[in-house]
Amino acid sequence: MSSLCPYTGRPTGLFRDFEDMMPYWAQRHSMLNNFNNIVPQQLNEVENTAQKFCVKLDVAAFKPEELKVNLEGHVLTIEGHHEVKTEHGFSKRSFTRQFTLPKDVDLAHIHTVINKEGQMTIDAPKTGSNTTVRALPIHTSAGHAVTQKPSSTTTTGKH
Amino acid sequence: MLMLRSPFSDSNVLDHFLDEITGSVQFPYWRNADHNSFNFSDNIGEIVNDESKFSVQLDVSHFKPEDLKIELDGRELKIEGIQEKKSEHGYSKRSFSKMILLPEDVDLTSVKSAISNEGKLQIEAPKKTNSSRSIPINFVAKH
Repeated sequence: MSSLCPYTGRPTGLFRDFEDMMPYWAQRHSMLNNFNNIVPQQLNEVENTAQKFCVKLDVAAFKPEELKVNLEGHVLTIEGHHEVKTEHGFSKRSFTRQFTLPKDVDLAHIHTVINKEGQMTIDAPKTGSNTTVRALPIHTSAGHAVTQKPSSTTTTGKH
Repeated sequence: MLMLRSPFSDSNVLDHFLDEITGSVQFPYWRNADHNSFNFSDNIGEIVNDESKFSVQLDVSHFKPEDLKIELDGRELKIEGIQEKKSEHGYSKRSFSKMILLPEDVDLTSVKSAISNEGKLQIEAPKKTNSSRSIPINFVAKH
């Protein structure tokens, strides 16, 4: 079997063709079990801009059915649990990631996707509610208030 | 140098073992490890089971030694790692757990473990020496 041969780099030939046909969790799963494959580093996992809040996680070590994404209020929780029987016993691994979403995130439009390399992206647009501007009354020395018209209109949240 | 020490092991033997595998590396691996990475450390596991020894090797480079725990319960060897931390946006936790049933011919009183500076956890146990003996066959005369 090929798993008995020493592995020194990317698979070539027939094995490589076979690998390309498999979804990431089957492909990566077999790689992790048989070779000293290094899981890539995950950097810059949170992006928080005026337009959106975005989280990227490398979940290639888990099948989609082993993952769970929960939203409770503004708290986003991502969990993975993996367990496998082995020749000599068992092996388990798990992770929990929790993110407190900013107040201006549009919770009704959160979107989650996993690409075929096993990277999960969670996108949420901003509502724009932080850009509201309102006018304040100016009190004159005579004691009564003079109200000015607002200098800009208030933007609505959705879309 | 901070290293995980096995309660089952004679310290002189372990020190010699550590000298062999750490060489001239100056700093332990967790000083330089990227603790913000999202790797899982139990993915690389090698088991050697031959007539002289049983050994396990794991890459635990994303766990500090204080995050790790090794237990021997009868012939069940349990290796666990738990890491938790707060981050700018919330909270992160990851863990692994491995249970390995040691073969019957392993000398359980001599199990030892060590972590290299590259974050490789190695657990070794020698096999028992052959202790078979012949049993005489007695004949009883029947009257």
